[in-house]
Amino acid sequence: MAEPLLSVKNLTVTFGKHRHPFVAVNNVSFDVYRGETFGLVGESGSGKTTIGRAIIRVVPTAAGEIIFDGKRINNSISKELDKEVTHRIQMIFQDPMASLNERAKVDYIVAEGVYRRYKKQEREQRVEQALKDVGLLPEFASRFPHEFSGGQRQRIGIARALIMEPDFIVADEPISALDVSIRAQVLNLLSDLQKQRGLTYLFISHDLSVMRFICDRIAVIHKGVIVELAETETLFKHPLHPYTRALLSAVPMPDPIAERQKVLEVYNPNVHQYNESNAPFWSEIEPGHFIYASEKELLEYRKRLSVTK
Amino acid sequence: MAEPILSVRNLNLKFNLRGQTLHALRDVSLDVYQGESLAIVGESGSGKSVLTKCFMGLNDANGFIESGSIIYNGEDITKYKKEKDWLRIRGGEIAMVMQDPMTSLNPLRTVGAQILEAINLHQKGLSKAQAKTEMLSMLASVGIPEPEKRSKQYPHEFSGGMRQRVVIAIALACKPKILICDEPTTALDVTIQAQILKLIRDLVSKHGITAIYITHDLGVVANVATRIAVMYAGDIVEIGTSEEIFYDPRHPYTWALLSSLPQLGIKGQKLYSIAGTQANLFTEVKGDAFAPRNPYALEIDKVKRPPNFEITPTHMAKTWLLDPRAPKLEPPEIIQKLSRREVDLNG
Ligand SMILES: Nc1ncnc2c1ncn2[C@@H]1O[C@H](COP(=O)(O)OP(=O)(O)OP(=O)(O)O)[C@@H](O)[C@H]1O
Ligand SMILES: Nc1ncnc2c1ncn2[C@@H]1O[C@H](COP(=O)(O)OP(=O)(O)OP(=O)(O)O)[C@@H](O)[C@H]1O
Ligand SMILES: [Mg+2]
Ligand SMILES: [Mg+2]
Repeated sequence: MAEPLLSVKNLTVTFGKHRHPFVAVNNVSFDVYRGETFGLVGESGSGKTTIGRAIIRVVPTAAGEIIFDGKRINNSISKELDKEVTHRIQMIFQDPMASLNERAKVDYIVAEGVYRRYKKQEREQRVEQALKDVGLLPEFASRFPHEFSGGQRQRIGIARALIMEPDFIVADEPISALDVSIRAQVLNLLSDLQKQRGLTYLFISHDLSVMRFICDRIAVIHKGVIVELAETETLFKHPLHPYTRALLSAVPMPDPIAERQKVLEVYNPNVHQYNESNAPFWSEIEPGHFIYASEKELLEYRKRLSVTK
Repeated sequence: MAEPILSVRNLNLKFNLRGQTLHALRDVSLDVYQGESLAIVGESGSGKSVLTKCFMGLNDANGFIESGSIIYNGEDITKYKKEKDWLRIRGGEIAMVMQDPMTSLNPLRTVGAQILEAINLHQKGLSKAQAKTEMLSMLASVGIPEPEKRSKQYPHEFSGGMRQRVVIAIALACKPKILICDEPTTALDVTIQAQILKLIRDLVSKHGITAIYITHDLGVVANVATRIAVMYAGDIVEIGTSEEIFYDPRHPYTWALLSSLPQLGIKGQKLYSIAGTQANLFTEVKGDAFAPRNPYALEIDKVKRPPNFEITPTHMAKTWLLDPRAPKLEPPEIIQKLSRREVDLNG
C-alpha cells in the first residue's frame, strides 16, 4: 500500500472576487493509496465536494498541487493528460437530479462517457450490465431521470461512473438516498470492484456507520481544514480532536432507547484558544494518526492516548 | 390516540409511461394522527415520496389517482382538480421539504428572497422590516452562519447541506399544520443533523405540528419517530409504534431491512442485502409482492395477497406468517438479538 495514487498537497481553493476571495479549502494535504478507500467526513460546507471537484478538474485551484499517478493534474495540463484524467477519474455526484441531463433517457446518460469507445451492441450490453450492477431493471433504460425515485436516480449516477471503468472514483455521498438494503448491495459492489480491478475510492459521506464499514482511513475536515486523519478503527476508538469527538457522539443509532439516552458532545471552536504562541499545526501524534493541534494540545492528547491504550 | 388529521383509504396511484402503466401505490390506507411524528421507511422506489406528494397535489402530470380517497379537513382532496384548490393546502396547511434540494430552489433568486416569499405568503401582517428579521432568524435557526451575508447569495453558492437547510427554513416559514420531510437531513453532517432534528422536534411540539418523515436512516427514525410505517412495492406492509417496529418487527421485509444495517456488518465481509430485484410494478403483482425475495414465503404468498393482521391495536403487518394457520416461525437470530438490544451498535 506504500504508493499513493493521488496526492493532494497544500491544496487551496477560493471562490468569489479577487479582492474578497472566500477560502473554501485551506491548505489541505492528504494521500490516497492505490487500492484503498479513503474517507472524507466533516461539517456540511467544509469543502469536501470542492476538493472532489478540484480533483476532477472542474474547479481551478488557487494554490497547491494535485498529483495523480505521479503527474500533476491541477490547473493547466496537456490535452493528452486531460483526456487520460477524464477517463481514469470519475465522480459520483452528491445531488443526483442536478447532475443528470434532464432531457436524455437513462441509456444515453449511462452510456455518454463511452459513446465512442464501444459499438452499439456492446454499448447496450454494458449499459444493461451497469444498470443491473446497481440493482436497476433493464426496462428502466428508456426512461427519463424525473420518472425515477431519489434512490433510483442516485444509482443512475453510479452506473454512469462505473461504465467508464475508471481506476479512481470520487464518490460524493453516493449512497445517501438509498434504502439500507440497496445501500448494502452498492457497498458490496464497490468492494467487489475494488478487489477485482484494484479500484481506489475517495469516499465522501456523512454516514459514519457506513464510513466505518467501508473506509480504510478517514480524514475529518472542518471549515476547509483537515483536523484529524487516522485509520478507521483508531479514529473511532481514540478520537482526539474535539470536532471528531462531537461527530462521533452525534451518530444516530437505530435503537430508540439508545437515541433517547444519547449525550451529545458539542464542539465549540473557541476551546482551542489559539494565538501566536499557541498556534495549531499538522503533525503525526502516533504512527498513521495525524492531528491539527497546538503544542499544548498535543501534550494533552498524548496523555489521553497513553491512558486509553 | 388522538384524532386522525389525515386519512388515506385504498389509494391507487398510477403513472402512464409511453403506453405502459406503472402501479405506484397499490391500495394504500393510512391514518396520520394530529401531533404525531410518523416515519415512513422502506425500499427505494416503493412509493414513499409519491404517497406524500398526493397530499399536496404535487405528482407529475403523467400520474393519476385511479381510486381511493384522502380525507383532510373533512374534504376528499383527491377530488381537487384546480390549482386554486391546492394553493389553499400547499404551504400553509401542508408543507414539504423535498428530497432533492436543488430542484425546489429557484437558481435565479437569492436565498433570502425565497424565504421572504414564503414568510410574506403565509405569515400575514408582518411589516417589511419584521419579515426580514424573521427571514434572518429562520436562516440562523437552521444553522447558517452569517445569515445577513448568506441571504444575499444564490443557491449554487451554497454547499449541498446548506441548500437543504434553506429548504427546511422555507417549509418552516410557512407555519404548516403538517410538515412532510423527505430525507431532510441526509446531506448534513451528524452534528448539524442532530441540531436540525431537534429544531424540527421542538417546533413540532411547540406548535402542535404533525410531522411525517421519510428517511432511509434508521438512526434518524429512532430519534424522531413515534410511529413507523414500512413500505414495499407500493404498499404499507407493516406499521407500529417505534418500539414495536425496532424491537418486535413481524414482516420479513422489515427483518431484511434491519438485517442490512451497516452497523451489523463485519469489515471485509459482505453486508447482508436482500436477494433478487425489486417488484416490477408495470405488471400486476400476484400474491405478496415480497414473496419472490422472501426466504420465509409460504405457498399462499405466491397466490393471494396477505391482508393486514393486527398484532396489537397499534401494530399491524401484511404477511401470511401472522395467520393462525401458518407454521410457527422465529425471526432470524440477528433480529432477535436486536430486539433484546444485545448488539453493540457502537462497535
Ligand atoms: N461555486 C461556488 N461559488 C461560491 N461559493 C461556493 C461555490 N461552491 C461552493 N462554495 C462554498 O464553498 C464552501 C464549501 O462547499 P462544498 O460544497 O465543498 O462543501 P461540502 O463539504 O461538500 O458540504 P456538504 O456536506 O454540505 O455537501 C461552502 O461555504 C460553499 O458555500
Ligand atoms: N413521473 C413519473 N413517471 C413514472 N414513474 C414515476 C414517476 N414518478 C415516480 N415514479 C415511479 O413511482 C415509484 C415510486 O416512486 P417514489 O419516488 O415514491 O419512491 P420512493 O419510495 O420515494 O423512493 P426513494 O427512497 O428512492 O426516494 C418508482 O418506481 C418511480 O420510478
Ligand atoms: Mg458536498
Ligand atoms: Mg423518495
